Amino acid sequence: MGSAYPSGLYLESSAASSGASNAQFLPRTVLPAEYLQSTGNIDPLIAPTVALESPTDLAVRAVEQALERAGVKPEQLGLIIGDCLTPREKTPSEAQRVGKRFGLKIPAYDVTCGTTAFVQHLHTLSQWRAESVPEYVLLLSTNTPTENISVDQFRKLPIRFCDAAAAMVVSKQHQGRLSLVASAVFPDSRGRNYISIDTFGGLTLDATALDEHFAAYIDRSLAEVTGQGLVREGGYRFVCASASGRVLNSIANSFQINARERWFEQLTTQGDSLGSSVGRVLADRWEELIEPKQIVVAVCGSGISHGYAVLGGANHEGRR
Amino acid sequence: MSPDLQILGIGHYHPSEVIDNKFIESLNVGTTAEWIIEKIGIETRLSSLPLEYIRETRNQDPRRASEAALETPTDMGVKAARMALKRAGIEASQVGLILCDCCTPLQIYPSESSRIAKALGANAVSYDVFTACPAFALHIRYLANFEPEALPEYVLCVCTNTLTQCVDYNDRTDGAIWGDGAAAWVLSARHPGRLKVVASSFMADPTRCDAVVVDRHKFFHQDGRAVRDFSVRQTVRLLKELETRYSLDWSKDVFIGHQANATMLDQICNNREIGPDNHWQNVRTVGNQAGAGAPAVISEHWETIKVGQKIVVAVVGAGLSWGSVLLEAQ
Repeated sequence: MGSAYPSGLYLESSAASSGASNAQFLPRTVLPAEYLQSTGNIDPLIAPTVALESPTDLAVRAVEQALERAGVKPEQLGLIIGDCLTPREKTPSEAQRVGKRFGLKIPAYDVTCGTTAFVQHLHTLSQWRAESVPEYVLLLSTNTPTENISVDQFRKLPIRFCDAAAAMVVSKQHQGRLSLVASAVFPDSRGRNYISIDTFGGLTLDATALDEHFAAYIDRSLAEVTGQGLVREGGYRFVCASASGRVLNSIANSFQINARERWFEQLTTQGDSLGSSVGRVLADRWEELIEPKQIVVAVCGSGISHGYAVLGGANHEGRR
Repeated sequence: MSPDLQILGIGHYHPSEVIDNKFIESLNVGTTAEWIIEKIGIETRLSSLPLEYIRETRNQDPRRASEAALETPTDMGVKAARMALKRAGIEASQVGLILCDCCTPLQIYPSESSRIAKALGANAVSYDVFTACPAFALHIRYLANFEPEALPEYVLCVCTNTLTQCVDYNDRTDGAIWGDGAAAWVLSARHPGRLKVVASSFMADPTRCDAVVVDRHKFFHQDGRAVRDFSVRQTVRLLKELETRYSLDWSKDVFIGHQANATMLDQICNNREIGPDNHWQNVRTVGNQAGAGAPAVISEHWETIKVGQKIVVAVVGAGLSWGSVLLEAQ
């Protein structure tokens, strides 16, 4: 697994006077601080033209790290599946743009599902026939949501966003540091779009919808995981994105998840990067993954899907 | 290959604004109706944009196009989906998975498939599987990869594109290529349908992905000559592979290519000796609808497909990517 962040860290000079939770900084942004200070990033059409890096740039760095950790060369990949909610171009796909950077001539396309990308991508591959999955598959998600958020809007959002990419090399033929124990994706036609990104506009977050639906979705996933005995006694690490720290801590409390195992804290402090959030948490904790402790990933996507993935160590029984 | 996948119903939708070659000539961008017919063979294209809007603005600000448009990609996708569902004889509530391909969404997030699911009232997992023009082949190949029991009872695939909203009408070539359209098809690995998926493939060469681009905030642009050469060569290659492997007979079987332009398709048909009765197309009257083109053609012929007939869909495009689907009517 690999992750990549932009080097930009925008510090607000007015932090002390604002008082809002997100006022202190706009973490990990591809946008130059001078641009943010002088314009407030009120026009999302200009942001990509001044950004220091593109989503593809971030993805390439994350992929390089993932390949190195997997001990796999780019030419050994047989498929790239991408996800990007902030693309520079609507066509070609992000997977194809990344494939180009590595000089690859292999099937590459996007399976775009936003915040559920990590679970959806793994869940899909687990359901494919073994002969349909190439020896090594590259899954990636890369997003630069700060390009789509004005500084003023950022101060008011209940979720902090940042720019980041995550990538992972997966295989059905070779053992890795993590294995997929179980996964599921659920539809819910009642679901509301609590995050939206307009093609020509910015990011919109419906905090009311978030509060109404998110806790219920995640609660349902955790209840299923624990109810079916998919996690071992003694606790598990919990990763969950796209919600405020208040909501996530409340859920973690109700499932008695140890504070040390609440790996979502990284996202509530550093910022949420949509579909790349979960992957980058795991990539950033790559060395800690040697310890054979289960990980429960719960995701809730805008639109009408949510789901979970239970990850275990390489030798976990029933790994997929 | 999944011999179990079947297409139960297929639908299409095209908007009603007609852009003819005289209209494009009247824009005075250095082209004529005769030149368009000679070079790309498209007579008319159907657009979601009012002609007056195109005439007055040449669509110089794509941000405004979606506001001026008479229909959205979602509107069109939903109409195509309803037709497909009706032909399949199922309700939207029976669909368990919706895949969509849209290179002109009004919102990047949530996915186009989520918007269509919501409009249909479908309680289905929905996400976009995207590669633009060869989407028909990608979606079927993607679904054929699944263990059949892992697929829901019914899957809905949708391609919907409004490229005329992303065209610079001061460009004499791009304005003549594009039309808008949507297509949708219902698949199942458990229920018999009119068309059985005999074979499918999808491949890409990302090193050439810059050859066809739709900017998020600007226009479509492509390396026209390179893309045309690639399209002809790759489609011919796909057809040759299938001809040999599946004993195709172009006196009774049917070829449907990527609806890029008519002269390109003619070139391919001449190479493979496919007569006009066995080449189904709609590009001459609708224009290039990206991924929606080929499945829309099948939809237009849905009622006349003969039992035993093989339909070869060979599609190419952005990515650069390509793929094929061999269907057999039953």
